[in-house]
Amino acid sequence: MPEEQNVEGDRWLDKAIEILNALGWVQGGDKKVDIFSQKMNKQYGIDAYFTYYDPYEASDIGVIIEAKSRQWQSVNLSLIRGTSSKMVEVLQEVPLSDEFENKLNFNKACKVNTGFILLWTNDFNYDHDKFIEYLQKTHIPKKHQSQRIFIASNEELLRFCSIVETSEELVRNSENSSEQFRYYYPSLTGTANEPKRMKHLTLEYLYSKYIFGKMQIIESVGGTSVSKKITVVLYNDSIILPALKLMYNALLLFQLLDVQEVWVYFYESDVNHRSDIEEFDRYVTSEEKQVGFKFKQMKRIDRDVYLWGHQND
Amino acid sequence: MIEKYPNNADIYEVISSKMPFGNSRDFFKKRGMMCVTNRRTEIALYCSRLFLGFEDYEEMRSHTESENNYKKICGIELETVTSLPDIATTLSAKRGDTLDEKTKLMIKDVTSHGDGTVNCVISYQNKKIGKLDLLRKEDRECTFKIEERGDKKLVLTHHEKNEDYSKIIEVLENVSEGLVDDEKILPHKITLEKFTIPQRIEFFDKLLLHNYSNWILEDVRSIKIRKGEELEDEEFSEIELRGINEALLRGDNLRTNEIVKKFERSGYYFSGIIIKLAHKHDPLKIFVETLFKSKPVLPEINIKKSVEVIDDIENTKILPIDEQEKYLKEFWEILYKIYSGFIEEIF
Repeated sequence: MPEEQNVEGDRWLDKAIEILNALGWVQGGDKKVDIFSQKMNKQYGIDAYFTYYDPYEASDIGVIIEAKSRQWQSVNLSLIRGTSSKMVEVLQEVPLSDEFENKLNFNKACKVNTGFILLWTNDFNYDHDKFIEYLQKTHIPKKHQSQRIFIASNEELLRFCSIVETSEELVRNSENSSEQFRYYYPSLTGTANEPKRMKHLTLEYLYSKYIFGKMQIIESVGGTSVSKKITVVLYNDSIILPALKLMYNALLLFQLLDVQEVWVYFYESDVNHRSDIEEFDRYVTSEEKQVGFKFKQMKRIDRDVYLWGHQND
Repeated sequence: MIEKYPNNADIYEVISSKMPFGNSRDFFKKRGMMCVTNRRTEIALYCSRLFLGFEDYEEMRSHTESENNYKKICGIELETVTSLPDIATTLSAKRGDTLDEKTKLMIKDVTSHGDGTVNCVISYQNKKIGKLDLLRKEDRECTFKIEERGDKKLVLTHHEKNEDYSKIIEVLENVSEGLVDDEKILPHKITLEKFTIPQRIEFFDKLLLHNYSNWILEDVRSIKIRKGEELEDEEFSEIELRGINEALLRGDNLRTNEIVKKFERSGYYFSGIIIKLAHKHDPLKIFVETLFKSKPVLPEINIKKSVEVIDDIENTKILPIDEQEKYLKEFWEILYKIYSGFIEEIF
């Protein structure tokens, strides 16, 4: 039914906006805005527009949002191809339009070449492997003017909610200390950027296997308050020994071991990986840097995203 | 296996100069990131800022343009009346035994599959020139599969080095030692040596004129020739190759070709060819080498290169290992069918 689809579409758009706000992004203008392109003499419907600061670009990034909610039987190669082709055209035309500046961007100095498609399957038939297969078969045009289009389905969207939940808990745990939990953007080779602590996540970070964070916590030891420096890793890689060792080497490279403890939050369940974790623990104990590692489980969000609600601070 | 976490400058270099354009776009597409660009450096710039994990970097490495990322296949016939289950039993009986003290050759595992095929994993030590030591020992492992082909058995392996093939032969000979003739599983090499020089040329003629069902023969890129029983190969010059390609396009029998006749008169025969095949349905072209090596005597098929055709432009793309293995198997079946058919025809 088209009306039911519209209602579900609006409901999903609201949830998508809630997720993006929770990631620390800033919404520009209203949702569901029509932008007229003089060049194409055509109207483009924009679901939402968000910006965030990218420390590696040293500038604000504008992201055009497309939110779609469908039953699994309607999620197919043609839908993904169609949605991504439409996004390519939108990214090419919309940022050049006057209406885009007047209604969404408000002349903010932003690099607008990024699209984010949030595709929610609203029944229980979602098949992640099939979704990846569709992605692999989607043709991407070659263009001189480069664009980046990120696409997230249920698997990724639930993980984003899980990241938000876990991060908020970390913020609460560290609120009495002098260094509240923030995401940590290490300094990269060949860039002049200093490492940065930030409240929000960039798209690249969301799609990374590790998200680093730093904080201090206050612990009571024998009646005395003691502060402890913590490095946090929100870990989305496989829980196998070589992968854990590689993460350790990443922590070394980015100088994140100058703390008392490292808290590693696994997204995947660690139940079947106890022996790898124990072996990794022995490995780090034998290393020069005497840092204590604690392994925890990220908060998993149930497969119905509508049951998840973000509490604004 | 990757151990040291790569810095972003290294990742940038890998994506921008070591990974084919199509592979780099596919790598990130699979992860939900579509890079709409015609420059590898753009993909490299954005994507070097991702903090990827172990399996990502292992996969990235498998997409780089290195010889190791192109697979090959070779095969050996077995001269035996023994059934596949009995062959599995014979191999299993020697599992864990050191078959050669010097190279620590050993059968590590034998598995019988539901489809009747048998998989066998062997291990051995090989000596190679090292970076720190002049000569260092390398532990190698190789898997081979034994399948039924009519009244024959065939060993197939995606060998990485010639030594893998030689060691499989050694294992088969070793386990057959001391067995009664009916139980032996002796290797029977697939070789051009069974044919006279004109027959060797005729064999390649059949290979080139074969109808490759899903593929179209687009070009002959190289022909290796060998004189008599000499071990070294030589190659046809570009002009000679052009003449051969023209003859093939006309559907001519190579043995009637003047260039081929000239070489045949001087005692040369074909020992290998590289052909370029275009897939009939997918935008894919691959360069396939069929080579009869002389030292050791080893028939192999290699994927030398693969390209994806986008907007009429050929972009190098390294195919996933399972896809490479699927195509290699397909080409091996063709080679083996022509080989056994030709043997039947002439003997």
